[in-house]
Amino acid sequence: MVMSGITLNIIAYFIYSIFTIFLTLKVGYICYKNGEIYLFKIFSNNQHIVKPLNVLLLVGYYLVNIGYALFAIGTWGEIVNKADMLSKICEHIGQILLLLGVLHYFNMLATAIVAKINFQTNIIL
Amino acid sequence: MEYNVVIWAYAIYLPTTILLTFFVAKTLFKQGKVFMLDIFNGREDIAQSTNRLFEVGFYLLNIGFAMMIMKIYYCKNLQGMIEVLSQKIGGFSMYLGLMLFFNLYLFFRGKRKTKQNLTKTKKPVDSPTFNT
Repeated sequence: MVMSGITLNIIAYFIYSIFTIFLTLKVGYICYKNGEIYLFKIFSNNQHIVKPLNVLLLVGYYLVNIGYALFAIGTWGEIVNKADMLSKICEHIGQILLLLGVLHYFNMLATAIVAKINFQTNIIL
Repeated sequence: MEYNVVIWAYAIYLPTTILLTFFVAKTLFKQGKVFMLDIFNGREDIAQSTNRLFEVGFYLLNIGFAMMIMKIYYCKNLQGMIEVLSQKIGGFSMYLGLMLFFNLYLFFRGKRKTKQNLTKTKKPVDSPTFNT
């Protein structure tokens, strides 16, 4: 009896969560694969911590991003028809993608800065 | 009806958060053993037990927090249940991610302290031999 009353909102939430979770997982995995080489460069003095650190960073990224994607569901408002549903889904997926993109560039900047400091001051991490 | 929906929401919320906590703690402390060995200079036994103690603390803290924020104040139908649940689980997941990064910070801090202590204890040993 709880399962009756499926509204357009619920369908929209379903599509949105599948899309965002899939995108987050995919982007995270690509960063995990290709970010390892930077970590090896940064932690060139003790390379045995790079693999565990990379896994932990990946899990933290998943938790925060999927958490935020789910958290954003609460504030959509009422969806009245199918066109509205489509536009709302696109709007919110777009928001998540923009956020991921900004965070991604920020991360690359941070990596570059850390590598530069490392090179200039020879601090052993 | 309303009572039923809230019960359903709790029944979904509790296993999800507890499983999530278990999964994150398992990953964190499986990978964290390397850091612990670094902190304790490769002394296996004390690294293992410290790791375990940290793990228990992580469980207590996070499952406690998950149960504390469980109460649902307003939820009238299936749609409301999904909204409330996603907000709660999403918020908890973000909190868990931040806790993971905080633990990672603690690991690195411990590593740095160990390194400082090592250099500190080395100096008085080295200097007399240097003077004589």
